[in-house]
Amino acid sequence: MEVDKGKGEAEETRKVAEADRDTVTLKSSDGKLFEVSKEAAARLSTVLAGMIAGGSIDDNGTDLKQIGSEALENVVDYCNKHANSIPSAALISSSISFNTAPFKEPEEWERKFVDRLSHDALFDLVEAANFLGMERLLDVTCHKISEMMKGKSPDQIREVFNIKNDYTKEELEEIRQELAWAFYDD
Amino acid sequence: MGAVKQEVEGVRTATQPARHCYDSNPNKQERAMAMGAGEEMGDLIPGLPDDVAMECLVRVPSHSHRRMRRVCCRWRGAVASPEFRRRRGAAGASEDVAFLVQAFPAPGDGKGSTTTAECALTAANLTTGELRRVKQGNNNNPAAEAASWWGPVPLFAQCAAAGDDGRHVAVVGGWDPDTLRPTTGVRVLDVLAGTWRRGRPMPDSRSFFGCAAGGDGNVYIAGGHDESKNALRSACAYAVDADAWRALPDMAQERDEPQLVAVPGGGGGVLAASGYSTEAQGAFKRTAERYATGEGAWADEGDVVVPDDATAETTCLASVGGKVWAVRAGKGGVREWDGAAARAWREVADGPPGMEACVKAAGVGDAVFVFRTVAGEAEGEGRKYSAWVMEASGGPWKRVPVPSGFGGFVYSAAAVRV
Repeated sequence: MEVDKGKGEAEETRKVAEADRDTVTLKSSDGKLFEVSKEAAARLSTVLAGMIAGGSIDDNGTDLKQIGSEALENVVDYCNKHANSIPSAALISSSISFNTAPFKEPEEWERKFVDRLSHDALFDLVEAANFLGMERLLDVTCHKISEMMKGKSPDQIREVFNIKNDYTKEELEEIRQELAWAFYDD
Repeated sequence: MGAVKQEVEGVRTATQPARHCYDSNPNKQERAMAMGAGEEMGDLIPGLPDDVAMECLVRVPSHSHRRMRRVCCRWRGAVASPEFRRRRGAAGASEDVAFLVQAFPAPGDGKGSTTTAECALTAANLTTGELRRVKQGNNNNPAAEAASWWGPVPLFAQCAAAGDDGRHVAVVGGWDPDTLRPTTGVRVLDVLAGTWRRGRPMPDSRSFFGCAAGGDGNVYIAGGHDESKNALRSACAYAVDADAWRALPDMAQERDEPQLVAVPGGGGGVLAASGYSTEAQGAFKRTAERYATGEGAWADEGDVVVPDDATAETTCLASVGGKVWAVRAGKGGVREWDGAAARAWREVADGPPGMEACVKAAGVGDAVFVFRTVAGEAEGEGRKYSAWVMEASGGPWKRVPVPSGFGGFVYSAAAVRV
């Protein structure tokens, strides 16, 4: 057993040496460099996984021209935190929910991670997650944004998201009539 | 670089699940612009690509959808779109709602007397646990023709999910609460838009017929009795999208108070089970016959479609995940009908804990929903009945809290995923 283990480790080391490094360096649009675990990047981002597999990772910093340094820092931070987190049993909802795909509630640390972000930082992170094909991060950030809509009046939603009310008076009246039933609360 | 990029794109397409259509595809954006979704209309959410914005919108629980529709024109269109519903499913944000035609105490009641209760449509959201009463008709628009027509839900009315995408609930027949005479009325709720419309009336007047969604978007009704209390063999089907009824061939047997469920396998059509003949009032049969849309005729399904050690009255059939289930109290009370092969029942689980008798069972999403009487509990309003759900794949029964006012008898149930 001991021997096998030693052999396995040597094999590992050789592999790492072959691939040079176990991190990848990413470069933001404003030229800042960030290191992220190759394993986490490949697991969490379909785009980075593709680039790693395709050998198009640049050791001097892979250009991600669409992502600013603040967003990229958050992406990297998320990857590192994710790599360290233990999947929690809390993923199984305790409520009486019976969907095929039970809604994957963000875990506590993910919630905290997005809660501390400013409005702009959150939006930039959603875009970055989208660009990098980070399904879980996109899930968590979109969920956060959806929570900002939940239970708010149309006026409040418009204010939070800077949306113009483009309804005419007549249209608003029409909608009021159309929705004149009590399935959902008001 | 071009080759690498292609490869990256290739990997992306291969590894990405279908749930997010990441919008780096310029053609798609061009198309969106062409459709008027560009600058002129503004973004769904300023600062986010529409595709990502949509992913945010679909995650908002359904009870906020009404308010979302009032935000702006584009949100209204987005929330009503089939894409919205599809993506809610993909994001795991769908909610399963059971619509129930349910008795509730008439206003001013409280004497405990058994004067006629009114019926109402209840929306039991099994995902959020909320129960709500669905308003009838367009009560904010007294000018509408509908205003004079829409009253309470007729007594003992039947309901079924309907339409090609199953987004409607048709409420069919029942008795006029004032005259206690059967009505042929049909009212159709578009669950996603939140609007009622009046459907084409049933071709004939009948009471206590069976009613079910046929898995093909049609609502099937069969059996029941006519105004002279003769049990009926006749049946018909209602297509919600075309707003049209068509007659079906007669069943082989008279079936008053039958139970209808979608045919197993989801090919379109119904199984009409149990019921009794004019000559044998209340002697519920254990037989069933099936009407498959493709075959255009009723066929005998065998004589044990209602399980043997239970009376047909206390066993409820339900279509759960494309299969026919029977639910009754006690050990091994939940079973699945293996019609095609064995013509036999396979035990799935025990009945809900403490169940006295099953009142109504329905497949809702991937679960079976049961409304039933409770043994030993006081007969007070709101305590006599309770609701339970169990995932079709197994697992324990979970109790759905039934708030005060929602404890009345359930006559019919329909499931819609929102």
